[in-house]
Amino acid sequence: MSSPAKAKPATAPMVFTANRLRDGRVVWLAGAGAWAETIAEAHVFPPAEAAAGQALAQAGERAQQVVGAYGVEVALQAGRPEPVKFRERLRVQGPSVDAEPPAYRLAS
Amino acid sequence: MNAYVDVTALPAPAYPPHARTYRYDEVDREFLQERIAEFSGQVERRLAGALTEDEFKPLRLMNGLYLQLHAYMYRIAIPYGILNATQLRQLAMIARRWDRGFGHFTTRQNIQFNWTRLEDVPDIMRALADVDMHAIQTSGNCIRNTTTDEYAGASPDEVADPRVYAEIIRQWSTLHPEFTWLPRKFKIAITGAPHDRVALQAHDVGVVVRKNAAGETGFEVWAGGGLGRTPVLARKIRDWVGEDEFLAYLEAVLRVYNALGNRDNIYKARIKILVRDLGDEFAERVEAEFARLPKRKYRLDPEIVDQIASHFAPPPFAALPDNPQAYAQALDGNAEFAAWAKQSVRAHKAPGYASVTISLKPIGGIPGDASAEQMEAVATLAERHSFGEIRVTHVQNLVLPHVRQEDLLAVWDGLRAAGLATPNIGLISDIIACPGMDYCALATARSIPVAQMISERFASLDRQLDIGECFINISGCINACGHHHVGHIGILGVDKRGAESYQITLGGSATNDAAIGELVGPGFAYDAVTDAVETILRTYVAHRAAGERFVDTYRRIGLAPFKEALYAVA
Ligand code: SF4
Repeated sequence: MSSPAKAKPATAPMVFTANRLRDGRVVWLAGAGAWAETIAEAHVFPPAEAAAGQALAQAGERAQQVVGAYGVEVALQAGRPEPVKFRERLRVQGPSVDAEPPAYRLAS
Repeated sequence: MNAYVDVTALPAPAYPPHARTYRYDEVDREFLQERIAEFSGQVERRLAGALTEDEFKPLRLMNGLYLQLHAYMYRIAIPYGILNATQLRQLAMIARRWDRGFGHFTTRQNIQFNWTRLEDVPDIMRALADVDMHAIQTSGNCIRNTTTDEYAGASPDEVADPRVYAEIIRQWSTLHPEFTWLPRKFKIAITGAPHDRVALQAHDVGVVVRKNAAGETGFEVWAGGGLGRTPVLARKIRDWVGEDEFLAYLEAVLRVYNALGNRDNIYKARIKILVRDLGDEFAERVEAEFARLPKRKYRLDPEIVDQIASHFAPPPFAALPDNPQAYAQALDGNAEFAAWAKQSVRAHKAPGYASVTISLKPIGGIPGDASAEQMEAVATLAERHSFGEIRVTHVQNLVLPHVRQEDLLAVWDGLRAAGLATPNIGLISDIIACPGMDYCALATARSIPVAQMISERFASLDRQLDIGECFINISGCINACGHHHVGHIGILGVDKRGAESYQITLGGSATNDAAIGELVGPGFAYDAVTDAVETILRTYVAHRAAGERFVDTYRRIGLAPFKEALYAVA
């Protein structure tokens, strides 16, 4: 598991993220064997249960559902998980710049 | 998604068959087909769960497929930055069909797609192979794509055509059994002109093709350059290697590096550390290895050189006068065109022709990005006006190398219609920026929006012209893909207690006066970095002598006035 937060014991609530194997899209661990496309659907693990979350995330890698799973510290904003780190907030939002040309946006 | 564009329905290449990109032979094609079959099988086994990510990762990297922050990223090799119109159209098709309608041209003269799906990669590989392209050697600890002068074969100051030797290096290095697992990646740049347009000293090996008094071809070799965590400029290790011994000498350099390069510590594994630590001894060891090599085995046969050179023979230039009346009249009658021509049009070795640099840096845009429509527009212009040839520059722009001067107005019109006529080549908004944290998994901060903010701040062409030549290079982490160390103004994004912070260096240069920039002081917050650049430029304008470029003034007055202006307590 390639985890920026790997060795440290969790002190904040955690969610787990990875890239979906088939298409590389960012996904969030929603429960055993379940990966969702939005962080709103992610299961939030209290610090004491982070190890259990990590085990589920690793199981997702072993089951070849996802790659590069790691834990992300979050704070709860109105009950919804919001990553503490800027990098992970970008991962949630996607690039902060508009790269897609208008033709792509119109067609998609 | 956009409508699928059928490869077979693409127009037949309209450019004449002499377009000077290297034509693959059957050996190359067969090898590509084998590689596609092999990697397609590996992708299938990965998707079926028969290969783990640990097993698959080195295989996908060898085929140019990275995993980034939001998705897989596919990096496609553009050997020595040269494309023909058919290839560029195919890249546009790939962007539209399998990505999000755009591609990103990199400082390694390659293109990358940011939203590739693993399951699509075999199809993309086949589409690339249809136009003799691939993504091999764009990753991994091998000899990467050799980069060269974007004006090769066109520039009046060229002594010899570097593409011939770049192609020889490509053939020698592709899957070279000894050099597939080097201590680290290895980048070679080659130029055939005295003016360095390839950032020679920032490369593991830099080669200058030269001619001696007898008209023979030889090579000056530099080694040990590299940016990243420990920036080092390459040092010259040989004044002259004869053409027939060129590969033997390169082989010797690689062998010494392969044997002595540090394999235990990734931060010390590049050749720059070895050359820096060994000093003169490095060249001595290369000489000893060179002396030992069986020269006959490595001899570069003049017949082979001639055969490869025949692929790069000049296109059939017409006999034309320089500065034709139509061009002079267009310049006189159209100030906007004249402003663009001043920055984008460059002298050519053939009378009546010019090279056109196409800015991929619209004000507020993403440096190096081009939409599928823009790629197609450039391909069409290349077919009509540049013998079907396009070049990618390490500054993340494109070039139409051989345009008739009388056609320049038409080319400008075509570029304008495609949003590609920003007249800012060489000016402050012609910024190099790596993808940074908006895409890159290794980033510590964003690069692109910083480039956008600066370009918007200095949007006025009058202001840009007043500032004159000044290169801003931005990297989103210490790996320095944005070449920040060698920017006149270099910007490095770092993470400072969870927030983006930008360190600024001044006085770097990537050309004949190569230099590593000096750190000006503590970093600036994301919101403050544009103001800092503004302060630096105001300081320059206040101190410059007549005709002095930013970097000249900096070298004359040093860091102190800039430091004072930036950090003086209000
Ligand atoms: S410099 Fe860093 S952030 Fe930028 S592309 Fe390279 S690795 Fe990524």
